[in-house]
Amino acid sequence: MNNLMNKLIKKFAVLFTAAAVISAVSGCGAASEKDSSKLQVYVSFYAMQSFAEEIGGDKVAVYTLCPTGTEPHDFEPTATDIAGLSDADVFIYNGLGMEPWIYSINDVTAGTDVITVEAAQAVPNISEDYDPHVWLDPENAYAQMYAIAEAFMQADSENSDYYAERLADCRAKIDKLTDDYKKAAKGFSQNTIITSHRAYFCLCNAFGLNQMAINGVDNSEDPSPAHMSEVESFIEANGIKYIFSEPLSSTAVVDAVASDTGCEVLILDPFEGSADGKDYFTVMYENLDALSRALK
Amino acid sequence: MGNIFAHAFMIRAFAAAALIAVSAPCIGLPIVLKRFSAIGDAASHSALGGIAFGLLIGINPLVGAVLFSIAAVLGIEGLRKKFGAYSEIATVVVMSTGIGLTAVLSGFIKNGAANINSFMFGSIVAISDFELIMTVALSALVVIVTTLLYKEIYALTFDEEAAALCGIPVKAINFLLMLLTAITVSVASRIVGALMISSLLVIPTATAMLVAKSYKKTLIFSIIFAELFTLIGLFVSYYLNLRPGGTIVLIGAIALVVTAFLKRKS
Repeated sequence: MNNLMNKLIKKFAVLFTAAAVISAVSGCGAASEKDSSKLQVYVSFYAMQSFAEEIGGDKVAVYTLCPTGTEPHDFEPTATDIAGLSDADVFIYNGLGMEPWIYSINDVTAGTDVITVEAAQAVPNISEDYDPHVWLDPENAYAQMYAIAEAFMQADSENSDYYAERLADCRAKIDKLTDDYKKAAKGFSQNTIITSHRAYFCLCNAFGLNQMAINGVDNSEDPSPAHMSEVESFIEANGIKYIFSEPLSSTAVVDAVASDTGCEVLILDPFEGSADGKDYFTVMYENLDALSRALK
Repeated sequence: MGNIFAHAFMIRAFAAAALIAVSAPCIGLPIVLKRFSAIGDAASHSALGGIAFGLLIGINPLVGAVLFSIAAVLGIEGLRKKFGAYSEIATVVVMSTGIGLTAVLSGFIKNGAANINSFMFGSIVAISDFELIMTVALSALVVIVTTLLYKEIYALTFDEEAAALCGIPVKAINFLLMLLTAITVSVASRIVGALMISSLLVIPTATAMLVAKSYKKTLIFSIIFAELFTLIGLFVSYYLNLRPGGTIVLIGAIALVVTAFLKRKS
């Protein structure tokens, strides 16, 4: 009898656990209830989110797949992401290999009426070594915003004027940003920046700078010893005083270079996901301050 | 390219590699003889979880790695007894758990992937002074303990029952050996990477077993081989512009195959 009771209790325990798990999972789904009055926009990572918000304002609800604080190169979408994505109106990603995980998503959106924007396709100044961080050139960033605005107008033609107006605002801000960079660049006495992540081709290209990167485009692997030596020799030979790290990367390698060469480490943000609510322009001006300090 | 020792990071890399090449075989030989070669993998994969954990709660990742790999080897010892003749199941279970923990925990940390990567494949160019000091201390600990307990470990690796009959505290020494394995693995992960740590524990020992006849000679040869593999590996990776961790492992593997081949011929 006692034995039977024990068995029953065990069975009930299993059932209750299963029920608890199921309700917890479905509860999660209910918590992220969507605001269906707005245009449903899914974006791959923070830069795309910022551009979508810049254009979409309060007419769009933006969902970012790659969470804040995660490096977009290394992200994998979850099952919940994929499920939400198939109900989206617009999906925006950068492309050029920025999001290697995009292929699994394109399979989901193919054949649905989700309007997909590969923003890097729209940019005028592309790097020959396929650096995907094209938005660091303000003119490219504008082209991406333009492509996004077009998609919004197509998906939500009622608010076309609203999107067009916001795009025009961005044009003005981009022009000012470019001007400020060009003015500052005139005062630079050096033109090579040492960075951890090889992400600044487009930024450098736009303002006549060169980058020498310690790591590659994918920032998560360490450099070979030979390359690290080369970088340190270059720093020493050219009397460079500052090297650039970035918010989302491990700093071990940069710290090693800094301690070997006596350089100071500054932050240059490739605007991938260090959010804190900062928009593109805020980050680009912070970058300008860092560049001015290093290259003056 | 120029002088390989022109920069401080390369000197730190050589120092750390030379130290680990002494301590790894001291542990590697007993665990290979105890038919336990896979424990290094299990511990190192759990160490990855510890690194993620360390980053998550804000302690030095190396400390997290040491804690987790100690938990892993103790877990293996505990589970092993439950499976009797199938004791290798314990190693696989712990290794899988370690990988699972790593995957889940790294999802919670800022840029987990980059940090985990540097431990997975080794990050010999970016060893900080703190890590070098830790490597010196831990390597010294491993070498001193294994030297002091040389006879006990020797007896225990061949026949635990006989060792127990001779009055050797088998349980305590096994425990200590597991502890040292965990520490060695965590520290060496920084150099050759967690995915390749087994190579440093096992390949030099395996190569030495092909050429040496006695326990003592095997130990000495395995240290010599480990030094050769790591130092040659560093030189080669520097001048051919290759990744150091993988180069060290491949040189070891090639040396092992060549030795085995030469031995069969003679």
